[in-house]
Amino acid sequence: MKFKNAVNDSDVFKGHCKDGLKALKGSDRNLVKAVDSRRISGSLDMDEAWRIEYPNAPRWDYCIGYDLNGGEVVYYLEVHPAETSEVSSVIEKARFLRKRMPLDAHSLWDIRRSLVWVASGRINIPPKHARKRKQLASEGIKGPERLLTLGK
Amino acid sequence: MSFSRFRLEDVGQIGEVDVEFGDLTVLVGPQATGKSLFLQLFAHAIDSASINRTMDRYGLVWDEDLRMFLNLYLGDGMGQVWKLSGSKMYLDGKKFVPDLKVPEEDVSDRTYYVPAQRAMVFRDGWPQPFGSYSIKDPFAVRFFSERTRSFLDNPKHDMEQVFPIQGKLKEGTRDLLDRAVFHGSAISQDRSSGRRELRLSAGEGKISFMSWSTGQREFVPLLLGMYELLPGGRISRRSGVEWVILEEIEAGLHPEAVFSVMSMVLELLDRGYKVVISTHSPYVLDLLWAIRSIKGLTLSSEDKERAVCGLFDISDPAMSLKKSMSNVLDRDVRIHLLRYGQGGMVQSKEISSLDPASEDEDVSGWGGLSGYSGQVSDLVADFVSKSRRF
Repeated sequence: MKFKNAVNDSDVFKGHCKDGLKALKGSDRNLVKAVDSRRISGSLDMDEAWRIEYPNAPRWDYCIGYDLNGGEVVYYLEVHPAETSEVSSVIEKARFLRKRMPLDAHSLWDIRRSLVWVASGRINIPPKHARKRKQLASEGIKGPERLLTLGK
Repeated sequence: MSFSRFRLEDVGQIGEVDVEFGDLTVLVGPQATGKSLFLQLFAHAIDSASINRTMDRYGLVWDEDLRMFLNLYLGDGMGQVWKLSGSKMYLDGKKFVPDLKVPEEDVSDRTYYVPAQRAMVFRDGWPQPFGSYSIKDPFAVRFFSERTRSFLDNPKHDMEQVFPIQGKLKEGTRDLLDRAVFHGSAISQDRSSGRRELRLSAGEGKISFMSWSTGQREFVPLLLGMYELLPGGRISRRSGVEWVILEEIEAGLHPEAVFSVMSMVLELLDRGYKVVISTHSPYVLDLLWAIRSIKGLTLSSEDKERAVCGLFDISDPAMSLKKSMSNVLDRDVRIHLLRYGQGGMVQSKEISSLDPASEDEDVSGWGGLSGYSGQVSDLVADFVSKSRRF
C-alpha cells in the first residue's frame, strides 16, 4: 500500500498526512535531504498525532514516505540530542513505536521501514564502534546521524 | 633543534605525505600505506649522523649509493622506493636528500625507535645483537634489538628483575600494566639453562619467552624501551633523545593493555619527549578524542585531573601521576590519515579534531578506524527493522 493511503487507513493518523516534508517542524526539516525530493510521498508528525491518546508516552517524532526504485520505504525519524545519556530514551521511543504501530497503523507498519535517529545538535557519542551504537542497532535504530538522506 | 614538519613526495607508494608534528603525532591508515616507510625516513632525516655512524661501525657499506643505503637501512629490496628522478623529501619546508655521510666521531641519538617487529628481537628470551641479524633486515629492528640487549646487559641498570620494579614507572602505571598484561606475574632474568634469558614467573614455574602470551611478548620489548626513556631518580630523560617513535603500539594487545601503553605515552610527553606513534587501534583514537573533549571543557584543574585519570580507570592516583597525566591537556596532538587516493598513490590528510559530527567522513569516521564497525551496526539495524520480531 502507498504511504498516503496507509496513513489514512489508520484511525489514529487519518488526516495528519502532509505533502513533502511539511509535517516536520521548520528546524527539523533542515535535518532531512533527499536524493530526489520529487520522490517524497508525504510526511506525518507522529508525536503530535499520538499526543492526545498517549500524552505521557515516549512518542516517536515523524515518519516520511519515499518512493525508492522498487517500492516505497518509510523512514521513521527521531530528532533528539545525540548524547550517550539519551540512548536509552531513544530506545524507549523505538519500543513504543514498535508496540503501537501494528495496532494503530498496521498498513503503514507493513511498508519497508528504516528507523533513524538524527542529532538535534552536536553528536557527542564516540564513533561507531561504541557499545551504545551497537545497542541502538540491536533495537533496529540507525544513527545518531547528522542528517537523514532519503533514498540513499 | 626541533623540527615541526616532514614531507615525502613520490617515495615508494607515497604520492604525497605531509605531516605537521605536534607534541604527540599519530599516523593512522590501512595496511601498506607507507606509515613505517615515512617514520623510518623521518628518523633518518633528523638522526642521519648517528644512524650512519652506527651502520658504519657494524660494517655496513654503501659507498654514497643512495639505493644501496636504503636497502641496508629500510631492508633488502627497499632501495627502489627512491625514484631518482621524482622522489623528494622536505624537512620544515626545506628540500633535501638523505644524508649518506659517516661522521668521524660518535654522535648521540636524537630518536628512539621502537619498530612494529619488536617481538622478533627476542630469541630464546634474550634480545639479539645487531650482528646476528641478516644484512637484509631493517636497521630499525636490528638497532632496537641491540639497544635493548645493551640495556639489559648493563649492570648499572640492575635489570635482574624486569617487572615489577619499585621506582621504575609511576605506581599507578605499574598497577595498570600489571592488571592489563602481567596479572600478578613477574619478569626476571634467569640463568638456569646456562645462558641469560627473561622468564615469566607464574605460580611455582618460570615460563620461557615463547610460551608467554602474544601480548606479553609484544609488550616486554616496549616496556624495556620505556625504562630506557623514563630513567628514575632525578634524571627525567635519556640524554640527547628528543623524539620517540613507536610503531603499532597496539600489536597483540587487549584494549585494556593498549590503554596502559598510552598511559606510558602520556608519561613520555610529560618528560618533554616528542612522541610519534602509528596505530590501527580505534581505542587509541577513542582516548585521544576523549582527551580533546575534556580539554575543551570549562572544568576545575581537579576535575580535569580526575577526568584524565578516570579514562585509565586509575582510582586514587598519586599526585605525581595525576599531574603527569593531566599535563597531556596542554599538549598539541596531531593525527594524520594516510590512505590510497586517486592515481593509486598514498596521500595524507590531517584529521586531528576527530569530530564525530564532522561532515568529512575521514574525520568523523576516524580515518576508517570506526567506519567498518559502523557499516556492521547499520546492517544490523536494517535487518532488525526488517525482522518479523519487530
